[in-house]
Amino acid sequence: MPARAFPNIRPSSRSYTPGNFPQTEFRAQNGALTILRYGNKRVDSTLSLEFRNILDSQAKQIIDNYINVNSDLDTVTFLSTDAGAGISDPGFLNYIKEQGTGLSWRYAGPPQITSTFKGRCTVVCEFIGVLLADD
Amino acid sequence: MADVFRGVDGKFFFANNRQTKVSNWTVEASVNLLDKTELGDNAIGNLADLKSYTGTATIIYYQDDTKISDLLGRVFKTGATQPAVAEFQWGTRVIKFNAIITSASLAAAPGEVVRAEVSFTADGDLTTATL
Repeated sequence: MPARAFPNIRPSSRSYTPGNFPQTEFRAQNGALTILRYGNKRVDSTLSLEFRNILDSQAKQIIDNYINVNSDLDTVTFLSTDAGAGISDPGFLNYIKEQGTGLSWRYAGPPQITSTFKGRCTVVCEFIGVLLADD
Repeated sequence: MADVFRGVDGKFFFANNRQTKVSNWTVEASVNLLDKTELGDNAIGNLADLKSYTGTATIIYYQDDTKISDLLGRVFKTGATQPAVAEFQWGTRVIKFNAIITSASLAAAPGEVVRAEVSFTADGDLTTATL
């Protein structure tokens, strides 16, 4: 599953959750909790990027990226110059990029584009970190 | 010494009628801002958004002044208000826009003449601006 680079556009805001560990919980009638842990790797991390009042041409780059990634079932990679902009700690940046964590970013849904002014729009992209079967 | 404009140079027209008893007027232009700050920036980035124009006029209410009656009658009435052209002049300079009356008040107080305070907001861009 090849990876495609996200366009070189810095977001206005970024929200990240590191995901969960796959497990199932069973609660007995007496309240005792049993947890079945299926793996020791995180799954389903999420990344939300908002690009406020960017140029329409930049919004097109994001839509193009969404189409190119999903038409081939590819994944998305980020750099410190786009989704990781403004992060000074390399370790934290690796989490945002999911670099070396076994997770790969995929679009969780289509980008949401809201026109705000002539030639400008606000775009929100949601990503999910998936643990690929061949990793 | 360079000439200046004085209050006596000011004129105010509404619906092409000169309001002759205006004691003062103001006109204001403002621009909304769009935030385009990106992560990693050190300062807020702004982008000029839509412009808007507002104006105010204080008019002394004379009994035989039909022009102020016409102006106030556009808002102190049943049904919808009637927009019209507002024109602010000083000397040979002019600012003109299609105006909606957003507020109008009449005030009477002992020892004072009755005055009307009227505020306008533009519908669209300026139609004339000679500054």
